Amino acid sequence: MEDALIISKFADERTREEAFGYLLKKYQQKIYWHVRRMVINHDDADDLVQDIFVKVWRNLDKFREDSQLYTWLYRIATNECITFLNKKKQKQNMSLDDDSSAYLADTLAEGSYFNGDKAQMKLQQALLTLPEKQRLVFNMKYFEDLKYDEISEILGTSVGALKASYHLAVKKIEHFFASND
Amino acid sequence: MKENNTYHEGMDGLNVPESCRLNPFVVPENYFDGLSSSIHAQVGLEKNVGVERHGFTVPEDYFDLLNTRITAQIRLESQLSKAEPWEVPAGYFAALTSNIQQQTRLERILPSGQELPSPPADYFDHLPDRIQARIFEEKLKSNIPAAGFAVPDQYFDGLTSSIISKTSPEHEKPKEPVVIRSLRIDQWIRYAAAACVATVLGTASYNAVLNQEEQNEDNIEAHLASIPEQEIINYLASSNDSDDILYITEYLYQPEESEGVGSHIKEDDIEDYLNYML
Repeated sequence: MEDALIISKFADERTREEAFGYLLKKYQQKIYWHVRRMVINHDDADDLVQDIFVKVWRNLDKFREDSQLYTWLYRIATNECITFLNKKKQKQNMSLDDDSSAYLADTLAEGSYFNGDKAQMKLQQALLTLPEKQRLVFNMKYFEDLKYDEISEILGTSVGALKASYHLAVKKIEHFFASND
Repeated sequence: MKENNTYHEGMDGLNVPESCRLNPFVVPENYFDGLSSSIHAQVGLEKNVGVERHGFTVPEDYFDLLNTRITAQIRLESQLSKAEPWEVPAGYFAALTSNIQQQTRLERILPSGQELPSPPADYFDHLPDRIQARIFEEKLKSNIPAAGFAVPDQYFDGLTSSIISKTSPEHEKPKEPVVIRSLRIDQWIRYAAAACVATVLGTASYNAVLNQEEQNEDNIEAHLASIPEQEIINYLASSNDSDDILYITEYLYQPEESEGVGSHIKEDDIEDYLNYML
């Protein structure tokens, strides 16, 4: 179902639940994987995804349609991920200024619900050495195949900065692979 | 017409019935009366018209020369086909139309005589690095297209109902009722008196602090004047947004050279800045 139709059906109380069902069917997997790649753990991703869509349920009627629906959803999901990860850092007594994702290494090492091969594990380990937002940009470009314009709309960052960040991320991953052969 | 002849002799009992012997065809009225004169007239007309009866003519000796002319034409055409000494590459004419169209498109974007805009100053310095990164990325994608994460069986089938159950009204937290307490008159007087005292004390304290601040401002200005400009800019860069930096660099700091600005900045510093801006 087209996004415009979902929004218009959601605006009508009689068809609101039906529209929300369509929205879930269309976007729940994409949002789940976007969140999962950031928080690594399935249970954390599960909680977050449910919170995200409850937030969407409460706020979709206020959506101004000044952007695409999916960029709005991604923006909510991204903000929720960052909030969650900051809380996790605080619980581990880490400084919020420390923007690396190394604290997630244990979660990755536990290996629950990870059926990737050695190469995939190595890539995830390399990604956890990146700053959080750089990892976010890499995930969105590499795994989710989003265009720079779309990522720019989601994160509110210029395309130039995103390209530079992605390039740096690739260089770091290359260096990680070379030094961990 | 019935004719009496010897054809029917000896055929008693085998003749065609009389009704079938009648002629079924008819002619226009008085046809045979005018037939003879019309035949004579047609014969006379044929004699008079002669060779001009079709209306077309040919030049003199046309048919005599026709054979010679056809033979000469055939010889000429076979010689002409051998006369073209030039060849073109295979498929040349097939691609010619699209080549010309491409060229005209290019002419529209870049009129003749005008050069292409030049790339940034350090473009070629970083190009090998970017190409190498791109090659690594392509190789990485071909070997590792997916992240490797998995989900429990039938997870997504149950996810929808979990989310919908959380959006139901029963799941909303009940709002606590707001308690409104009314005050008696004596309590009003007590609270009003306390408010007056607090106001007087607060005003006196504020005035005292204000006088102190004025003295401090003079000291602050003296201290700031002693700090180098660059240190102030660096401090503001770490704690303010880019609009302030633009203002400062425009009105306070004028670089001597316009080209090569930023060329002395380390890559790590650029990366930190980019991460800060994300």
